Amino acid sequence: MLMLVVGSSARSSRRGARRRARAHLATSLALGLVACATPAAASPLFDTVGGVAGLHPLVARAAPTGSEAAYFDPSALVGLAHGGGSTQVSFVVVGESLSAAADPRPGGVDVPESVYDARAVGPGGATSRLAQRPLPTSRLERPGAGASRRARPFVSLGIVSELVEDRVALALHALLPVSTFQSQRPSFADEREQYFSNALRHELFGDRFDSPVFVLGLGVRATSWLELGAGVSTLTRARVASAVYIPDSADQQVALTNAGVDVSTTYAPHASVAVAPARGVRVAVSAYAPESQEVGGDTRIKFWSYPYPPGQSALAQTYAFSYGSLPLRTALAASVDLGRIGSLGSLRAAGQATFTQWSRYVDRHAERPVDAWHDTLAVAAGVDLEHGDWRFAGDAAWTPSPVPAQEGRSNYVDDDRVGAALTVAYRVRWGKREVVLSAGVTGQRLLPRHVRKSPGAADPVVDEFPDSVDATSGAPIAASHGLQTNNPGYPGFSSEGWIWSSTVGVRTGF
Amino acid sequence: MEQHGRSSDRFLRRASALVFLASVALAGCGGGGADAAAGAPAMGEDAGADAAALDAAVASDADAGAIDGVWAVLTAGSRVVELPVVGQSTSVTRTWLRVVAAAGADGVALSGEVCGTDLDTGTTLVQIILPDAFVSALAWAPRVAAFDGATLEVGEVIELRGVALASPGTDALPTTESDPRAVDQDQDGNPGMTLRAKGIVDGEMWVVERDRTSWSVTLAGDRLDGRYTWDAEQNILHADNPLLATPNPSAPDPDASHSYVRGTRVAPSVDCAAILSSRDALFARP
Repeated sequence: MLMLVVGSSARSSRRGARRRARAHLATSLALGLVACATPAAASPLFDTVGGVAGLHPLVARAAPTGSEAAYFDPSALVGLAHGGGSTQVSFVVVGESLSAAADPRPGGVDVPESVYDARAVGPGGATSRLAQRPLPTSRLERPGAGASRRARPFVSLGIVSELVEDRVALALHALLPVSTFQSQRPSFADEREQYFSNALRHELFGDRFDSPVFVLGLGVRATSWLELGAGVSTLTRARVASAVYIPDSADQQVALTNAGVDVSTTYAPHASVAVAPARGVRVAVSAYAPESQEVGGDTRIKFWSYPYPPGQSALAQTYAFSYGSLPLRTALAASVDLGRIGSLGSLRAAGQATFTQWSRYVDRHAERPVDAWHDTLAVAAGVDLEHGDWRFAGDAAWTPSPVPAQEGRSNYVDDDRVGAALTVAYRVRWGKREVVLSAGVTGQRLLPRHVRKSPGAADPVVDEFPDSVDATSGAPIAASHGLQTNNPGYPGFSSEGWIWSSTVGVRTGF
Repeated sequence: MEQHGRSSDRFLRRASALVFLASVALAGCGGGGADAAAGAPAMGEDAGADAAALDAAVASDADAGAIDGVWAVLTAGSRVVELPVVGQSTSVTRTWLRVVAAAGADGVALSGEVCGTDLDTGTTLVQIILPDAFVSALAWAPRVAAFDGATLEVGEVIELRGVALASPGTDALPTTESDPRAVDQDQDGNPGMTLRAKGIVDGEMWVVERDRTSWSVTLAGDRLDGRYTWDAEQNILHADNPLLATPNPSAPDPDASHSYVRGTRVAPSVDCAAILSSRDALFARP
């Protein structure tokens, strides 16, 4: 069932199709309800590794082949559901092998133990408390290097169902983690990370992949040359309210805690419009609203015999995180049937360009990078060849990094990516049904990158231990002279890596 | 969890600040209390002086029975602080002195110098730093004691730190750094005396103090042992950490045995450095 071109018009029994469509609608709605009730994520996984369940993972906006169209181009659903629709199940493994390593630190930049006994010296010689609170470098968790090598298995489920023959189709596409269902691992992208992992990490991968994804899409064929589509990705918003009572402040290991968690579902909409300006040509435009998973909370701490400020019965602290943040995206995609190439079979080409407004990116701590990120335009192209019951597809993609050279305080690690995908599908007939077996791999190389900190940066690395004197003797602390920093990315760092996926799947028509 | 931990830490700082405040506010530097003298060993350093040093330090038995001479003296003043959150806490100020006693017609004249002082805040979370400039600025006021051959009674002595008052015993202490009565006794450019804190609460305070101390000790051979009475007032003129700006109420420790004077006769050649290096042995009592 590889209905890929607007206007395909294979005929089948209308009555049977409607009956099947109703059944599939019920199934879709049921799965949709499940999706709405299940913690789900934004779709950075889709935007990064592509439509791994389809024939063209990296060009899925131009040439969707199954339920992944619910996300990548819902306007294509009517064409894909022609004949009633299809279901697909795939087993997907998404892996990452990332490294980010800081350059060797020069001498004299470590924060010494004497920082605990120091008073900063001001311009007039007056002393003051240290504005920064760095740890002695010798007490940091580990050197500023980070590496991630993981493989995440997923099950991809999808249904495309024709609701009104040749007019309206509905789809559900889900990518469900097999192991870790969901994880959120915040970190700071500057010297504040010294208090935690003290490591560099790639900003746009890692836990952004550790979430299930549910997408519902609806496609409408308005005319023979115009199709419309809309969909939603399900997201979660969590609120954590913790009440803590500490009976003995001198013993912080004993605390009574009531933690309440409320998780609600929100939706990030997207839409697409496609036209068929000529036979065998399809051009689609799609847009995706910004999305993220928000986690906020407040902790109210009570102590025994504590003089709270007037009107308060506890000390309150609030926090906010933003996971899987994706800014506004728009895409232009096109596919062209090139017709038969001799005895090779039918050839089709597809390409897409995706604009992402990364300048609006919000990191895991709900902070906007001080050094504004760049908006990007990623491009991808692919071809597929249908030869009898076989279909072969190849994609190539270029995804520039939105992260500017991290010459200052921040250490957002990211690299330009060049990617490729190969997929093969084989169609078999099982009774009256067609079954498509497919297998594919994708690989994206994160091109090596090196950045070096510069004192001339707009937001330079902070001298965390300014010139100071010993609090007892008043003598100058020699080790405080010059720059001292525990910024994990100082004096620079290198990064590179791979993102890959492999997929085996089966899709069957109704 | 991380946020929760940070919240707890923040509270911990506040709570510990209270501990610290109370300790500092009440510890004062009674009896001319000072921090470890500049250049002197830090507290705990050389603890348990070797026998040879101690033999050299302690005067011969030939001097026993007379009050005249040089004494290594330890005063320990304990106060109980009522703290929000943590409840009662006890802080102890220990001061090591080198005192010269000379009997005269009016009694026994005592003069001396502060060798060092420390302050046990009752918690390991916060430490108090008495800067070298603070210690160097301290002096131990001469006093005259009544001595009946067995008991030495030192009447109440009022000592001011960082402040000059027309009536030292009755005038109210300054409360602001702009008060002209606040003097830069430690000559660090700031009015009052500068104390510092380190640990989970850090910062600097400019304080003025008024200490009232008295002794009642009994002579037994080369040893003096007895009661130490101490009361103190302290005002904080300035603090660069808001958590340090407010002192907490306190009172002398109701257990009088926690405040004491211990003296050990030493040879005239023994100086403060020797006293500090031998202090554990000098002031050990069965």
